[in-house]
Amino acid sequence: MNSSGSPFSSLDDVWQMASTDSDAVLLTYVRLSRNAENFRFPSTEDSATLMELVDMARQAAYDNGLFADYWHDRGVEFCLGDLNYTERRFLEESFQLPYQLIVRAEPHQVLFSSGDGCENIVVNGRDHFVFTSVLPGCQPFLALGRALKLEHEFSTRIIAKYAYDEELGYLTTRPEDAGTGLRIGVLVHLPGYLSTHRTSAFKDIAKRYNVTLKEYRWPGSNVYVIENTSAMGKSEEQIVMSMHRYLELLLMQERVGRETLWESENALMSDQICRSLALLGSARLIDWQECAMHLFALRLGVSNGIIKNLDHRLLNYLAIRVFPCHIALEAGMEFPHKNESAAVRHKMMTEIDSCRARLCRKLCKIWQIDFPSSWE
Amino acid sequence: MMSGHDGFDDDNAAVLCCHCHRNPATVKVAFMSDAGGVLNEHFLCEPCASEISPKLTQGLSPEELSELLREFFGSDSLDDMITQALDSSNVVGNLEESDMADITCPYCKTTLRSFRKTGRLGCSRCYRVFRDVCLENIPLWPGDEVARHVGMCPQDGASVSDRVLHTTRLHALRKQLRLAVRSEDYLSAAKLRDQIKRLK
Repeated sequence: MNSSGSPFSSLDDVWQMASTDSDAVLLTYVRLSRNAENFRFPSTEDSATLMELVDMARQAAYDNGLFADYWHDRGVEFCLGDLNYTERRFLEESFQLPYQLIVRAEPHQVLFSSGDGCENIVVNGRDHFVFTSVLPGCQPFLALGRALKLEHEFSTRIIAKYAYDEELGYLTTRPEDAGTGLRIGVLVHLPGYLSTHRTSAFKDIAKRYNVTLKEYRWPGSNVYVIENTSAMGKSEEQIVMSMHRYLELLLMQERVGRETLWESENALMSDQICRSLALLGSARLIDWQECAMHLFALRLGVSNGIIKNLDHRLLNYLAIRVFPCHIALEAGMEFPHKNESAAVRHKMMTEIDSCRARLCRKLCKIWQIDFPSSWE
Repeated sequence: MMSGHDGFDDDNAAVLCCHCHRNPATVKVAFMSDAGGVLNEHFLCEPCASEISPKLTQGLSPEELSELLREFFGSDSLDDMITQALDSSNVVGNLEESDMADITCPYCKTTLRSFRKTGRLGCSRCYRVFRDVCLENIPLWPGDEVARHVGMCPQDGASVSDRVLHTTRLHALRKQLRLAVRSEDYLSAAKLRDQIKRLK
């Protein structure tokens, strides 16, 4: 598996998709959880019975035409139990899959993915079938439509029926997901919002829209994830609409914050952008948190029009590409498992950091960013 | 197999009837399964008990009794009867905390204790066994008092996804139209307006 070669060679094309609000929103993901009737949920069912479900899913994918007709022969199957730790982490980084699924991969856990990686079906993860749609930028309705379409196409091809209750809707392993089984999230870069010091107010507002706003995995990069908290009591469209309304409020605040930040802290901001560029262009070792932080500083420069020859879409894509396992796979290395000794982990991580720094230096040379002449 | 008809302990006074799910249960009906020798208990209210009671004392054959149980309690299989008894009598919601921890789903053997610890259920029948605890775990929307699914159902098929994708396209076109008008590009705006009309 290689991020730049097959099977995800067209991943780059996906990130070129035009989307609104890509100056702040990195990506949108939707997960729809379903379970088969008359089977125990994956956490309690035995492996042999879960393999029956995998066979049913394979029948739907290969014999009943999901791959051929719906994904135009571009579908790919990954048996998670056959992949090594680095490859599984690569899938997690790419598709926003739950981390638990990647850590404990079993032979009965399978991932079906469309060639471009935008649509996926996870079999026997937390639930029997999880349909995901991951799109760059802010595209919640499109992501929902694609996930629902995928679920429909799959359900018409599989012989298993879904566990469904008239009152409680689709029944899932976690009661929090019951109802629609829908989890929608967006990754947003919010440096301006933080500067307005209205974070607690927005966290209160989030409760009204039934969403949560929490910091994503890049510490210090001001990237947040907004996700719905309830999958019950509203239709799929209403849940997405509610999340979208909250996002619009937040983005409005974010843009006001960015303008204020730029006006009040002009020298500081421009200094930060230049430093980030210099660091990316000359570092010999750079870890992914630091790299993400500097890439997001560049985003700010693009948003404010200081950096002309860069695009948000490219920076969004790079934010994913600098993840450790993307770098490790591309360089043909292994990502150290947590069971490795500290010395081995350190050595391997240093090699990955070195590869990442090389990628950043190369990109900075290609970009040849010109700053305003007034700065000279 | 035996049938019983007796009063209730004070502890179980608040249990709901497992047949009508409305009235407090005042009568316990117990059956001994022939195969496993397991005692199955059902809690009924007076009206429901008076409905089934004359039939039980008619000296029915095992087949007839099985049919009667299927009609009255929904099923005569041991697992289903236990699940249903636990479910519809709201046992989980009415027992003491120490007793609740030992409640087990008869199908997947998930205990309430393990559900509380992990937040995960073992099978779809757990929703009936641990109904009240499950409902506590489902976040509600502001203003909602009970958890009730209002989204799509399996029969909706492609209609929902098609509608969402259609709305998405319409939404995107409207946004483009707003941008075109703002930038005074009226030719593009007119084209977009026509596209929106066609899609509607």
